[in-house]
Parts: sequence; C-alpha cells; structure tokens
Amino acid sequence: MNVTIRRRNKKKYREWVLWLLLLPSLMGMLIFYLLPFFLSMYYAMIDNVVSHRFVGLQNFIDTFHNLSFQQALKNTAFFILVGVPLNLICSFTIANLLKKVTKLKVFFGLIFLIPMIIPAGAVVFVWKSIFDVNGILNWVLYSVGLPMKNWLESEWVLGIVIIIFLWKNIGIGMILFWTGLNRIPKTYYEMARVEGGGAMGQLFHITLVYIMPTGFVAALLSIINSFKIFKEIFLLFGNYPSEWVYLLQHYMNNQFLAANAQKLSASAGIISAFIVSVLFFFFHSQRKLSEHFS
Amino acid sequence: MIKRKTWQSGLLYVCIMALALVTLLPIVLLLTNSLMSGREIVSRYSMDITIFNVLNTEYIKAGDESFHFVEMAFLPDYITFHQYFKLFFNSPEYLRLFWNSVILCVPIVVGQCIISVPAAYAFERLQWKYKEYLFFIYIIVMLMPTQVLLVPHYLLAEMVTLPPYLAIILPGIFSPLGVFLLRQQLKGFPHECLEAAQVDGAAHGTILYHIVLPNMKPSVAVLVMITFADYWNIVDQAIVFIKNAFDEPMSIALSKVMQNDTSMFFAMACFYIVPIVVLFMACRDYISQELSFVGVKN
Repeated sequence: MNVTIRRRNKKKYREWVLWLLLLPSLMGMLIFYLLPFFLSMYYAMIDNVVSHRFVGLQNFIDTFHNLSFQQALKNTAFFILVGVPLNLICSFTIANLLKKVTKLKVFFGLIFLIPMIIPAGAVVFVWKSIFDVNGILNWVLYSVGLPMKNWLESEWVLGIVIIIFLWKNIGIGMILFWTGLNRIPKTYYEMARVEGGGAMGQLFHITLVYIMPTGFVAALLSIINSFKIFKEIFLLFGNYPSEWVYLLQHYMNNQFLAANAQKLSASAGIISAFIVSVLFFFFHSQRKLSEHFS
Repeated sequence: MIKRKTWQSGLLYVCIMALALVTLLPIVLLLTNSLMSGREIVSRYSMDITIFNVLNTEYIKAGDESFHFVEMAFLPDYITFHQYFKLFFNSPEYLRLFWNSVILCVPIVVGQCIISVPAAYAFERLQWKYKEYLFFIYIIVMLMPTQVLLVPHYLLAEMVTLPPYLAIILPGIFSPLGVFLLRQQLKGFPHECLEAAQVDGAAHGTILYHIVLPNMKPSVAVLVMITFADYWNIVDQAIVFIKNAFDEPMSIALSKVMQNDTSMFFAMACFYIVPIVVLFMACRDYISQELSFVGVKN
C-alpha cells in the first residue's frame, strides 16, 4: 500500500520534470509561431491597423480577386502539378536502377544527396550561363541551326525552373524509394515468379502496392520542397520576375515589401489552409490504404 | 546467359555514373573555374544583355558583332590561385559577408539542439492524453512554407522591434523540425532500458544525459547538418528582414557579386560551400544510418 502511494507520487514528480524539459520548446512555439499566427489571422479580418474595423472574410475575397494573386496561384499550381509527379517518377526510376547496383551503393547514394545541401546562391550562376540569352543552350541550338530563344524571359521559364527543382530534389526522393524498395520482402517476387507473373505484373501488383507508403512520404516532402524553389527563382530574377514565373512566394514577398499586414495575413491564411488540407488528405488516405492492405 | 548479365550490369553502371556526373557537374564547374584568372572569367562569362533589352526580340541573331556565347570550360587556360588570394587578403567586404552567414547560422544550430533534445525526450516519455495532438501541431508548423511562417515572425518583429538578426535567429531556434526528427529516432529506442533506469531511481535528467544522448548522436548530427544547410542557404527570411547591404548573408549577397563582380564569383562560391560540404562529409555515416531509419519509421 505504502509502496504504491510512493510510486504514484514519484510518477507525478517525474511528469512534472518532463513538462519542465518540454517547456522551453513549448514557449518558443507559442511566442514565435502560434500566437503571432493567430494575431495575423486577426489582422486578416480587419480593414486596416488604424481603425481595426472587423470586415470578416473581405480580405480573403479581395486576395482571390487580385489578378497577380491569380497569376501566382496558377503558376504555383502548374509548377507543383508538373514538378512533383515528375520528381516522383524520376526518383522512383533511378531508385530501381540503384537497387540493382551492388558496388559503391552508399557512395552513389551520397552523391545524389549533394545537390540538396549546396546553397542556391552558389549554383545559380551555372543555371544562368546555361539558359541565358547567350548561354550554352542557345549555343547548342545555334550550332544545330535551330531558332534560339530568350529562355529566361519566355513562357518556357517554368520548365527551366522544374529542371532545377528536379536536379535538387531527385536525390532525396530516390533515397526514400531506395530504402522502401529494399524493405519489400524478396519472397513476394519469388512467389510471383513461381506463379508465372511477368515483370510488368510484378511492378504493378507488388512493387507499386508496397511502395505506396514511401510514395506518400516522398510526395509530401516533394510538395514541401517545391515551395523552397523560391530561393533559386529569386536569385535568378529578383523581386519582380516575368509573369511566367510569378509564384505565390513572390506575391507574398511583394506584400512584405509593401508592408501590407492585411493582404499578407490573408494570403498566409489561404496558403496555410491549403497545406493543412493537403496534410489531412495525405494522412487520411494513408490510413485508408494501410487498412486496405493489412 | 552470364554474358548478357555482365553486359546489362555494365550498362547499369554507365547509367548511374552518367547520372552522378550530371548531378556533380555544377559543383565541379565551380571548383575548376575558381582557378581561372579574373580576366579569363570575365571574357568567358560576360553577358552583354543590354543590347538585347534594346532589341527586345524573341529570337536573337547570333551574327551580331557584340554577341558572343558563354564559353563554359572545365579547365582554365592556366591555373592560378589569384582569385582566392584576392578574396582572402584583398577584399574584407566579402569576408564580412561570410562572417554574416556564420553568425546567423551558428546560434540557430546550437540553440536548436539545446531546445530540441530535451523536448523530444519529454514528448516521448510524457503520458499526457493529448500529447499526440500537440505533436501534430508541431508537424503542421514544420511543413509550412517559409513565406507563411514569415508572416507571424514579421508581425512579431514589427511589434517588439526586434533587430533583423534576432528576428531570424529566435524563430529559427524554436523551429519544430528538431523535435520531430529526434522524437522519430527516440521511438525506436528500447523503452525497457529507460524504464529499468527509472526503477533504479535515476532522474530524467540523468537518463537523458547518460543514456539517451550518447545514443542519439547520429540523429543530432543529422539535425545539425539539415539545420545548418537550411540556414546557410537562407534567402526568404533575409530579404524580408535585412535591409542593410553590409549585413546580408552570403546566400543573397553572392547573386549580387555574380552581377557586379563576376570575376570573384567562383572563388567566393567555393569558399561559401566549403563549410556545408565538410559538415556533410563528416556526417555521412550518420546520414546513411538515419535515412534508412526514417524510411522504416514512416
């Protein structure tokens, strides 16, 4: 009896210590992330910082009607809808290649990770000298006799940005897929072979099915990283790029320059609502999938 | 049969090698071109863009006299360390940019570790009913794009008039990434071990310091690397908060050097990537360990 009481007291004491260990991080989260975020949501619903008149969702509606916001939304959606699937397909394919490699596995894996850590500012010059008016790409086109183009100012520029995105992000996706592939038990393939399944059947009925959870993680990571492409684009084009690469990040950045707290908060609210719904979709469908297959 | 197999694996290695080469190409280019003389760099890479703005044509005539293509080369005409010499002994303003990056990154990395290690441990050991919900908030914040998180930081910095560096460093220290990464690692830690220590009367602090921390070395190393890489490459926050050109970190100043002082660019870029590459190489074993682990957990 006595012992249990003492143990319970001790447990309580220990929980208290744990809260103490968590406290700094929790306070930091509150002060620097959560409270200011709620403050920004408040700013999004007033008309200006002087009168503090409550206008409800008017700022959000205005933001949606803003032409440059629409352009930014369109470009960002295009970039994510093309870039992320491409990234997944490429990294999955290379992971399949790498799976068959027996020597120097780790060496290659590390090499493909290097673009991830190289700062955007250092390689931006290389992209510029390839794609600029007098860059390597135009030189090749000229030597072959094809018409040249000012790529960085044309409607193709988003394609170039996708190439840069792929260069940077294939590595991490590939490593994820690679570890995922190695976790699929070899016996599944052996069974399929005994039962006469072809290479295509193995791909669709075993590999793609069991790689699905990894695919989810890779897709999520890829979407998150797709927002980081702003670094490259900013260093290439500055604050006011051509309309073809004007992304949501530029829109927000220009609101920072204008120091417009209302528009800023409204667009932050819209983007975070988007991210949260993507997250819920991912977690929901992942749970459904794992129920389906277990 | 055997012959076909070796042929196939040969092709496979050629493919992988080619991919690795393409991946490394920009970095190799930086390294070799940093050994060029300043004049060679300018003559190779000068981009006379003004004329095209005047012409404003979609298709450019390459016959124009003032037009010349970039002559990218992997080997300099002759090798010289002059650009490095100039960088280290002749241009303190560029060294200062490097130093700006250092004093921005190091406090964030150190603070992040100090805050995250106990918090991750507490998250794993707490028996509070709603802790997973709290953790989910951490995950959501972690996955937000920088621009979205910048809004709260910006409003806060405006309200209490934080100096620019602090406005970047403080939120960076409390970024939820570290707590997430370290907790994922702790989930795989044998809990019997911790409970045994607890039964023997060890306090949480002792367990954390003597049992958990030594075993978390790989994930802390990876956390250090990821955080450092992230803030060494800082762009978004810096262009919002830092107004004074002298205070800019290397990450954004480098693109200005690219435009205004092209000859110095390659040497500076190489100098700039040295710390992160060294860190990456130092952590490479931990990274491969950790990556296979994250895969398992998810």
